[in-house]
Order: sequence, then C-alpha cells, then structure tokens
Amino acid sequence: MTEEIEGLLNGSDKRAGFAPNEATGFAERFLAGHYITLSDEMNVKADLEKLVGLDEAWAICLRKPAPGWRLLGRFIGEGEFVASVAKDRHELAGVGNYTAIAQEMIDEWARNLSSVPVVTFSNITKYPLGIVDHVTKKK
Amino acid sequence: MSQRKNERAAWKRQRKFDRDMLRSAMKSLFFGIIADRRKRDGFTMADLAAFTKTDKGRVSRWFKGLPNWQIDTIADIADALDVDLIVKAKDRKTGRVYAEYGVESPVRATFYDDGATETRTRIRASQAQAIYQVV
Repeated sequence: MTEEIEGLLNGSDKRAGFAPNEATGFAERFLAGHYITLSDEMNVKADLEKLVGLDEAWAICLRKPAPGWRLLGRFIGEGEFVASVAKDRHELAGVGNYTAIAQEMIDEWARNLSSVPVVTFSNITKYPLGIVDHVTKKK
Repeated sequence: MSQRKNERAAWKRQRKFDRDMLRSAMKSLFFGIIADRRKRDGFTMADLAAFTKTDKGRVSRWFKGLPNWQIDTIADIADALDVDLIVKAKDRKTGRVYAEYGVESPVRATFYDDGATETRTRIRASQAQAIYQVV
C-alpha cells in the first residue's frame, strides 16, 4: 500500500468519513482468508469489486460509515492486493468519474509500478485466498 | 484527552476488533462448509433453512454482515451441516492450548518396559483415565 493509505489505516491521516478501524478490520479478515463477497458487475454490492471495462482494476469497498471509501488497486498474486489509490465515495460519484479515477490508478501503476507484475485469472474467485462469495453469479 | 481516556478508547477498539474477528471466523467457517457441500451435493441455503426448521429470510440474515450468533444458533447450524465443532483456545502469550477437557499437553514421550519409546500427544485427561493418541 502507499504511504497515504497506510496513514489512513493507522489513523495518523484523519479524513472525513474514513473509519480506520473498519478498514483495518476488513484488511485483517481479508488476510485471514475469512468470508468476503466479490463482484465483477456494476451496481452489485460486494466487499471487493473487479471494475468493468478496465485492465485488472479492483476496488475494496469500505461501506461504513456511508457512503464509504474505495481503495483502488490490483492483485499481484493470489491473495496479494496492492492498494494504490484511496477515494472518498463522494469523489467517485457517477460511473464515468469512477472509471476515470480507476484509469488514473492504472496509469500511475504504469508510471511507478511497471516492474510489478499484475496477475490475471479467468475466474474472479481465484484472486483472493480463503472463503469467497461471488455475488454477481447469484443474480 | 487524558492518558486514561486514550487507554480506554484503545481497549474498546481492540474489543470491537476481537469480537468482529470471531464473528467473521464463525460465519466464514460455516459458509465454507456450505460452499463445499453445494459443490459436492448441491446443498443450498434453503436446505439449511429446512434442516434448522426456520425460514429462508432468517437464514439469509444469519449470513449478513458480521452476525452476532447465539451459541444455540451455532449449535443448530452445526447440527444441520452434520459437523462437530472443535472448541479450543490458545493463550496469546504462552501459546498453551486449552480444550474442553483441560490443558492440551505438548508432545510427550512415553517409555515402556520393553525399552520402546513412543511419542504421543495427550488428547483427553478425565479424572480417572487418560486416552492417548499416537502422533
């Protein structure tokens, strides 16, 4: 994760609406392989969303307190997520804006993390380790 | 804020974190079993509702968010899934493991009259008898 995200998670960087305890709780559960929900479609609420129409762009959705925050990043291995951009959900209002900011994350990755290989799996349940619930599939 | 208030706030945060992790672990455990059964036998949440004699809506709520299940609910789900839960606790400082029958001993060596030595782990020590399991 970036210094910015580390600051948000450890509470040293206080921002409106960002709950460090909720975020670190999610991170610990993710690392422990506990149950998380996954989606690869828009407008399906999940803990972890693969963004539509973008090259391996993912968002960790921290929904509490509403409207929440999104940690955008990519998987560099099975169960290994690198979060590089944190955004207040207010800033991401609208699909177009969401996509544009996610594209910024990809561009920044190309500039600063181009040597870090991004993994690709055909089945989205392969990205995280542990217990996953593919909620898009159930619709 | 005084140091005491800070300490209390930190303690409350830790308590919430520990509670959430346990809730998450229980939910994850059962969901993992259900997902495996779904693959192998086509087990569904509707089956879980039927086995626990409750409605699908309630079962759906059981798995929403980080549920604060009662012990009875845990027992009912385990029963419906036909699994036995193994209850153990590990001391965070010493690593000592406690089970429902007491302290789980570390590996111990037992010496026999014929000179043979076997390493065994004590799995149960009730008042009168000890049952040993060969490692």
